[in-house]
Amino acid sequence: MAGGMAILLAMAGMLVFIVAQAAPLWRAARTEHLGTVAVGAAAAAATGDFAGAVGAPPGGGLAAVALDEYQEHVVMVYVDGRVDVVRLADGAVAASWTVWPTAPAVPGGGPRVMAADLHPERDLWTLALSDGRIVPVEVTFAVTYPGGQRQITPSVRALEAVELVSGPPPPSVEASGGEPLRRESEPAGPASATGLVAAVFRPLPDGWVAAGLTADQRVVLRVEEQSRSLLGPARARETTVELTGGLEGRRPTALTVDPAGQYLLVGDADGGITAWNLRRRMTPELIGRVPAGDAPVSRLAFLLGGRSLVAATGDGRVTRWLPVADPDVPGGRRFQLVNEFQRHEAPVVAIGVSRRTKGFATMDASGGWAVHHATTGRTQLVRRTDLDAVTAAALAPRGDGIVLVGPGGELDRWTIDNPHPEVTLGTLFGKVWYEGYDEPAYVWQSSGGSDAFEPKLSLTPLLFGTLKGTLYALLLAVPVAVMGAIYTAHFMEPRWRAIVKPVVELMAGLPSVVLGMLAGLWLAPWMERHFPGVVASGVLAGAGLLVLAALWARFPLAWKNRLPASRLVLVALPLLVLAVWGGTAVGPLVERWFMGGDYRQWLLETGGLRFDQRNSLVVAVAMGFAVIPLVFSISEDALSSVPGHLVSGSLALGATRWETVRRVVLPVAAPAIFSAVMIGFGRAVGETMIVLMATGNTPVMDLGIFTGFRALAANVAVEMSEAPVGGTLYRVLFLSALLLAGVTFMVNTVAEMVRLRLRRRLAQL
Amino acid sequence: MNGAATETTRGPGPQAVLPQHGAQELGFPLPVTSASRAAVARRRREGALQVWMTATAVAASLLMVAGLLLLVLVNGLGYFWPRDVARLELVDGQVIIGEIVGREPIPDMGATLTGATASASGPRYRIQLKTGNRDVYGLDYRWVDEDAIAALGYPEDITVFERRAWGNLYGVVLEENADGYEVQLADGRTRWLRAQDVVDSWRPNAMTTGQKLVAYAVNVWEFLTGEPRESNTEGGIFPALFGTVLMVFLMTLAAVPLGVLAALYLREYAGQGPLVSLVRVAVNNLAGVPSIVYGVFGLGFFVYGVGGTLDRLLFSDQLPTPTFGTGGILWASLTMALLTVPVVIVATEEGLAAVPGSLREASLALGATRWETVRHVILPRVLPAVITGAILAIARAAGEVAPLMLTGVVKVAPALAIDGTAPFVHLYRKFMHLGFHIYDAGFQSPNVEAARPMVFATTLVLLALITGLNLVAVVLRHRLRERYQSPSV
Repeated sequence: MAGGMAILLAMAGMLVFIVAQAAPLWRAARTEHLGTVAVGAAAAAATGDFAGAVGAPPGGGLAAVALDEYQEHVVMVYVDGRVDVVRLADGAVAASWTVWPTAPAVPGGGPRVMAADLHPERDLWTLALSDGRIVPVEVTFAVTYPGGQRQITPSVRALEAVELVSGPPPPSVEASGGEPLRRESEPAGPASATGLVAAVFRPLPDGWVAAGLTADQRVVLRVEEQSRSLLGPARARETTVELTGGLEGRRPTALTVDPAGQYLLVGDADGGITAWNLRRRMTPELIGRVPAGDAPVSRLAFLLGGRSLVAATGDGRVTRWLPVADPDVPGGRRFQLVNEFQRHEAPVVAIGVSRRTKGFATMDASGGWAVHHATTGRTQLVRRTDLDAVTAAALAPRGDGIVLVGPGGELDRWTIDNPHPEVTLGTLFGKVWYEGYDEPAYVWQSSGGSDAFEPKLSLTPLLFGTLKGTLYALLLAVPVAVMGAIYTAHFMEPRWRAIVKPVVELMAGLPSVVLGMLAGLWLAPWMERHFPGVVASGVLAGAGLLVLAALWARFPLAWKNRLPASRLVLVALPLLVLAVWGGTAVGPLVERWFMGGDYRQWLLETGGLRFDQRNSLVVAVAMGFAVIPLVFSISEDALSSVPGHLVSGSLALGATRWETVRRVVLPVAAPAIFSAVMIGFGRAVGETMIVLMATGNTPVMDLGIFTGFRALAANVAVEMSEAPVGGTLYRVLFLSALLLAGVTFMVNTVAEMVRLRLRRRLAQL
Repeated sequence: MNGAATETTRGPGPQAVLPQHGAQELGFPLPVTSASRAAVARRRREGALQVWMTATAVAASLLMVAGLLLLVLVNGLGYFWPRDVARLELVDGQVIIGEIVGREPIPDMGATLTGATASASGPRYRIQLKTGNRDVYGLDYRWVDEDAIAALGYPEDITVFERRAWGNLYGVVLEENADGYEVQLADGRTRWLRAQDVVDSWRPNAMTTGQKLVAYAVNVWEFLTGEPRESNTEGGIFPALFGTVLMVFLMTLAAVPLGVLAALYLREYAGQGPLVSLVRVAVNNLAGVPSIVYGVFGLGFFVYGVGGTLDRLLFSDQLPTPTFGTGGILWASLTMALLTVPVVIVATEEGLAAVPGSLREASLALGATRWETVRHVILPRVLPAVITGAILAIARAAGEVAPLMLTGVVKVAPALAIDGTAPFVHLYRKFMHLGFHIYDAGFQSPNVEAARPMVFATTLVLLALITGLNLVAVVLRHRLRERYQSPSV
């Protein structure tokens, strides 16, 4: 018989399983130090990590690094203009490219790479050269599966260079392919002997944007715009604009352009960020300057999707900004501070951007690094390497690893395990400032069209929907059920009672899919057509009730004996039928006379209520079918089990039947009625098919009775089959299920305990 | 008039009223009150309005049940009737052939602008026609203003073709041979209909009522035994019926033994301490946990957990295509079994509680072991309760859809879970279900309007199945009770 206990344990195990599936949402991010590898012949020999030598570390060292998807290769950009792709397994150079096809006359004496910028969404580097040119360099990792084994073949190629400011005549670089464009270019940019210190290049579908900071503290933008006419060849126009004036004399220290080429942002030495709108690329428009900190802005970067801007200042402050609607300028945008993350102790040298999530990493010069997530606004991981100083660093594209470069060119590698960065209690239940929104909001939108989509997993609108549906359902069902139970238990003729009770309980057996179908396919369109009629029916029924009750109260005794309270239901039935019939018949007249001919307009104007076809009222009616029999049955049981001597005593003392019910029976049975309502609440909260079929399932937060909603349970049914196993959405849906189970379990337990106590009390009476 | 009625909602309590009466009986001089005031007080005490309201609540509940059943019956049963096909000639010379399915007043949009002009002439009506011929007209239904109709008739030569695709076709057969039919449509165009595309054809206007009744019965039979067509908006529902029954059968196999064991343990073996009553409350409450929660558990545990493991162990050659690692009828049945075990436990426990302790004691006193007592004395007596529980569980499972949506129900299953290919029973297969069929055809199909009649027919079948099961439970319970319950106890 241990089997019996095992079954009960198994049922408890069910809840444990659901908890176990949801729990990893709160697991903190973890990291593991993989060790430090030196890239270079001597180091390779010493550590044995590398089978082959990569070559002597070039003069001046590394300008920047990056990892590939699978963390099998590291891209190293050297100051002398070389880009190497090194296989981490054996240290072999898998692909290489250099700005200087032939070595400059003076070794290390040619123009140098002053800065390298990595595109947030692809392996496209922008090299800012000291001779004033920008060279975009594209690294591709071709993945093939010969014999089922993954094989990555890297290659490096440069796109056409952009001469942003004129310097010494450039040696030829490999030109990009494609049809030749007829150019109408303006003369190249302003002459500058000092070259560039930082630059970005963003290819666009119809041209490109290149921007740079010069050593003499100027901001130069060069853009190309292609226009394709139906006839004739493609035309490309290039223009160069100097934007230094917008800085009002401040020294520019960092810049970036989003991947869609919409905004140019320049950080200055006073800790501010100046933004330009590049919507009309040829004529950039100054947006303004916002303060980001007290120290010079050290790094600016856009996150995946190109909406969130991350800024790091020299004092280690890391902030996130979003372009939002500018209330002062119609159609204008401005950058708004959204989050501030945990501060670094030293200036940030690199911002690594994940290509899977809205996560990013910041690494400072002293070796500290941190992983943050934009949506949650949380810093998830803070660690420190043993390196004395860090010159460059990168986050793996999947956000699962990090590499930091020491002063000697050694690579310090860490893994990051951070499966559900986008979920915190704050994002699940609080307001979150999402990309593309002008203010923090509660939003549920679990999936979008692209990888860059920001999942919006707020359970609040779903909980709101569930409670809204439940509230309206109970408002409708509880009075009907409880009053019906009172009448059935204490007024109705016993032989009718034997029929009425099973008939009402028959309702409980109706499958919710049938109720939902009727609500969605029949009731909703019917109510939409006859809404004024529905209102009229309600008014008619109420008026009829008042009139009949008043008349009945004045009946002579003889008449009253003919129509005792026990038979009133015989009159109430035709009354309701007549009211519904009459109400629908006069509906169009009501609409014309009282609602100005269009009830939707009338609702909107008088009550500010929007009317959806599949609305909460429809749900309430359909859910009534599910809730009424539950509440009715339990209440009726309790009301009729009130001991007879109490009733008799009250009647004997001269109380009327109604007074007895109101003052004696109801107080005794009240706990059971309460528990019946609780059970009805539990049923309504968990109802899935009715709300799925009878509402529009739009997760909006609107308390209106004529609008739809999306309930927690329906949401699980809709989204579960599309949620990848083990993913964040999957676990959030398990959490929703857990919430539902927890709420109903608790409510039912309370109801059950109340009922048991009442039973004991009744036994004592 | 209703002053008394409305005030009664917060009328004075007995304490306030009774002393007055007492005073009257004792003959104290009463404060001067008019007869009407006394009547008001009396009416207030009677609570006329409240009693009427409670009566109306009962009436409303009864109306809801009756209205719903009537709605489903009328719509569901009407689906099978071979309706007459009308031929309409419009004022503008257009000819339309179709079944008249609805009539409603035309919502007059102009009324607000032009004043109440329409009210003088009364509302105008329009009728809805099922014109079929979706391949020609693009839509199945159209509305025709009654004012626009010049002539309406029911010519006997109109034939209705039920086709494999594109829905019904209405027209007049010009020529007929073994290969097919030359049909003239309402607008005079002719179409060639291949015989293999036609499921059935009839001439409703030429049929007698008797013939129609026969056709009705045939239609019902074909609906119950036929395959679905046109993404579930036409044809039969046999796979859904089969899937429902098989799923429920498998569920019963799992749920009933588990439920009975658990109930026996709780009632016969476990000591009746606070822990056991806590467990009992918990079991009761598990029945109230939303079904979608069971679905989520079934998906996570059975499908991905157990199924995924089975796939890795037994079907690794077929990976990454899942065999058991995806929704299927076995997982759906087990999920449903979990959902319904509390129902069986509660019902069995009730039965066990009704078995008199004297029987147990007598059996034990005669030297039977505990298990022998349970096996030979108690189990036969609780059998009615067990069967009742099982049937209630089945009725609940047959109507649940939400958990199935996560654990293996599909819109169209390519094959039944039981068929002629070895090993004959394929429990990993996905299946169709009546309830999901309703949801899918009514809400997910591309042509909801055309699917509506079919949805009602399926609803009727589902309701009939569930009501039938509930009735069987009642009858069976009654019979078994008579057989096993001797009147002496």
